[in-house]
Amino acid sequence: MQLRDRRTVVICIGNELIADDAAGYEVYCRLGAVAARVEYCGVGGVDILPLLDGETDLVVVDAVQLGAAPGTVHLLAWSELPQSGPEISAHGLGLREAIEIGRILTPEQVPERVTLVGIEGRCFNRTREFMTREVSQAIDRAVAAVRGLVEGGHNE
Amino acid sequence: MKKTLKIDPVTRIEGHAKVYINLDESGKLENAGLVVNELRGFEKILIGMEADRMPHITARICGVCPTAHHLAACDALDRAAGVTPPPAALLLRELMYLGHLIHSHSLSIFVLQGPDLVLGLDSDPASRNIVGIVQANPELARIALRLRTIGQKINEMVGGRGTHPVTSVAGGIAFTLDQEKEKALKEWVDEARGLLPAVVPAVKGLLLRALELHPAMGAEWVVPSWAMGTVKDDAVSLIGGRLRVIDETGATRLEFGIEEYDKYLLESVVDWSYMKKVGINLEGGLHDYRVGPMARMNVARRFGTELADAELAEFTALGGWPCHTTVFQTYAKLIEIVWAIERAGEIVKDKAIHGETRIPVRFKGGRGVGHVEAPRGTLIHDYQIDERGIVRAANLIVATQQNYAIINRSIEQAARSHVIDRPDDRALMNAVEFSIRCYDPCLSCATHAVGRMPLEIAISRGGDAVRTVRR
Repeated sequence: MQLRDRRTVVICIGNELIADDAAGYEVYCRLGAVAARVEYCGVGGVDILPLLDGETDLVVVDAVQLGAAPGTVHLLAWSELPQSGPEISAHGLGLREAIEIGRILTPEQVPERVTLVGIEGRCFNRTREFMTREVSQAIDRAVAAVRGLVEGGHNE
Repeated sequence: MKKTLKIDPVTRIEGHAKVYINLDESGKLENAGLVVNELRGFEKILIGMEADRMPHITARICGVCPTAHHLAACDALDRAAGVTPPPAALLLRELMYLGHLIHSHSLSIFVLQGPDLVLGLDSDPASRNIVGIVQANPELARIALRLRTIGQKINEMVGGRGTHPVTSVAGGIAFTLDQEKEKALKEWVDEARGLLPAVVPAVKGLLLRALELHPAMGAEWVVPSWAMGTVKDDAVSLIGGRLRVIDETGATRLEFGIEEYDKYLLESVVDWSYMKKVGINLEGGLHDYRVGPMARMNVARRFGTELADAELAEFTALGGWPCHTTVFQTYAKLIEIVWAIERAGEIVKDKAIHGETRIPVRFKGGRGVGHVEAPRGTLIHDYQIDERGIVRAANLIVATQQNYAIINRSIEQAARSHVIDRPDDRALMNAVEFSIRCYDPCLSCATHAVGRMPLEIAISRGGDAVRTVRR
């Protein structure tokens, strides 16, 4: 492997049984062949750390609630990632905190560039069939965003 | 008269807990307790479903202890069908479960209680979170997270899925061990064992330091109570065995098979919380009791593996027997991690693990009561199944219900030592929360909280609300 090589891992997060939380799982299912390793992780948090294998780029796909309209696809760089409030939990442990822990414990495994593809959701307390229509319609856009990032990463 | 307790609609969402602390006119503590504002209703949801689905559906009750529900349901179905799974199936179920216990206890000690132990109860809340622990003690954090991962990998390989396992079924387990998997399991168990010499003294050190810094924890946070746990071959057992009950002096008061549970365990509804509490009904009296790691040790006094029993002897020298000091729950969890790793090592080397793993099952109509020792204590599943294999009635008793009365007494003690006459909200929150967390209660999600749990504390004096602290 050459030093300048960029390698990407895409980690899709979300409970496949819960309405809008399944957005990450839907993206995982529809992503098809991309020039990256693609992983699915039910609840995220520190559990994403063992999935990292020294790639240079990490793309995380997850449902988010950042206050935008449902179905908005956010593309957030590391510096823009929201910090968890004090009520962080083992489930809700933020991506930022998980990566910070990884940078302390296993710096060689943690990608230098982290991007979140966040799909704004609204319904997180009902089952899968109640996925908000705007969120279902956003899945293909999120897939395109992930593909763009993977290809962009390799072009650099 | 003003109402003492106000359930705020804001907190009436899944996973939130509310604590009330009632003082009398003179400011003396009257009572304190935990209110659970959520109703989940699984016992009703299960009615009308195929019994075969119970191990998968009930695993979804909880993301913290799904394997406990998965296996308690299987045990109940085996008994309802009148079958005993083959020895290999029982060993593999146990192995799956040991992985789960390692994972769950590692999470509880290091991630949930870690902020209190590593950073101290009085530390700045801004850093009392998992990133703070990792920064304060990266070496311990690395080992702890690795132990958690190994436990999860064992659970995932044998259980088919990491979080909500699927392989265990009525009559056995839909899993067989091939050479490659056996090799991986052995490597994980060896690796976990290799981590113990670093992790055990470190956690003990943190615990002893916490006791030094907060003498009330050792001297006042003591709740003498009865205890119950599962015992097999006169040692702690997670799966299979009889239930033994001891009183606060350690005398054995009762031993029974799980099918008799409703003769002795009395569930009651309280009007201020959705959680039903459970007491032991014996000789005309109703006794509060404790379940979980410390209760198991108090009840059985033996694990049957070398390192765990040596550690247990040290525990007894420090905490006495039967131990009623709340904070020693953490030490008990640590010893169970040691034991689980040793026992998993025995199972992966056992030749019987390669035998037949499943026998056919047919429900002829009847009742099945099953149990496991969940990480947090005895878990009971009770199903009435008709001749078509449909669940007609279900009753589940989980650990936290059984610990409820004792948790409330611990909150009262924490309130006495850290709340009364101390206006500092932070110390109050930390102390009350820590006392609850020693029991690792599972209100589905509330106590997953890292660093802080979503909590509301209402303090009233002479019936009037004086202060509500919320986060």
